[in-house]
Amino acid sequence: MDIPAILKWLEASGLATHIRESLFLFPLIEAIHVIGLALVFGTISVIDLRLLGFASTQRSFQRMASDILKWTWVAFILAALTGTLMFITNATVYYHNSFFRIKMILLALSGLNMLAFELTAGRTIHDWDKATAAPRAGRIVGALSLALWMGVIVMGRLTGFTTSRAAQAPPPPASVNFDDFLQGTPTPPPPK
Amino acid sequence: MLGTGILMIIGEPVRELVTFSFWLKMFLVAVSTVIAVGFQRALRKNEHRWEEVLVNRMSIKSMAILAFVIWACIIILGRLIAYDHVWGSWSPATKA
Repeated sequence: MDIPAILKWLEASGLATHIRESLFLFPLIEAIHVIGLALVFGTISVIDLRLLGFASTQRSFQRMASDILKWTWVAFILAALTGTLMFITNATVYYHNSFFRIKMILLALSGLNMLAFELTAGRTIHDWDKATAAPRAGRIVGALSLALWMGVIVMGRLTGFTTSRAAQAPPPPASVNFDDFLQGTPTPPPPK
Repeated sequence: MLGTGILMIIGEPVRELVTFSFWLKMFLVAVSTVIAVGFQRALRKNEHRWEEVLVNRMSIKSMAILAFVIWACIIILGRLIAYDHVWGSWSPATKA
């Protein structure tokens, strides 16, 4: 598989070009991405704090999970779609960005964390559904989930700070010194 | 959020304060604060009939939708502070 070629092809696609050349599309997509991640992190925090026994301890875990997690998935799809759209506008740069790579690893780890829940505390859910907190395995999953998602958000923001056009190509220094025109004599070059 | 927001303004006051997005966002934060306080007052005054009667009123429902949309706009505008050029000549930043 030729990854550099795929990245180039993504960047050259009509959709990517269209977003890149528009003045407002990228900012708008990024703003919708923020709404998506705010909803993902917000709804997941509610579940994680319930697992840890810090909040909503009076309510059945299963009821909360079935009420909330569908919104988490809707928001995740929104964030993933807008994230993909931003990625293709500058695919090669994002692909090689360390923060972006760490973010993808953390996302994968939070997926594995979910799997770990299903294999441990998720199996005995009926035993602790009404308890204040989940058993130890569930509490570990909840704490890890909070930490991983915070890491995902921080890495995402750092990706933005290190891949924007301003960060990549600082404006060239002005080649004209206006003092030259005003005073009529060239200013001496600055000492080295 | 208030704390980190103030830190960012202190850090780069020009970048924040010379944008249309920032001031529209602050206006909407003020509006949504008024709505939230109004909701809480109404809730405290009519606690007994809130669950059955008032939540089903169209006026209350539309206020809830309005508050939700305003918060989405606040998030979008917050991100647009970094891209204030999208407002064209409305942005004081583009005139500089």
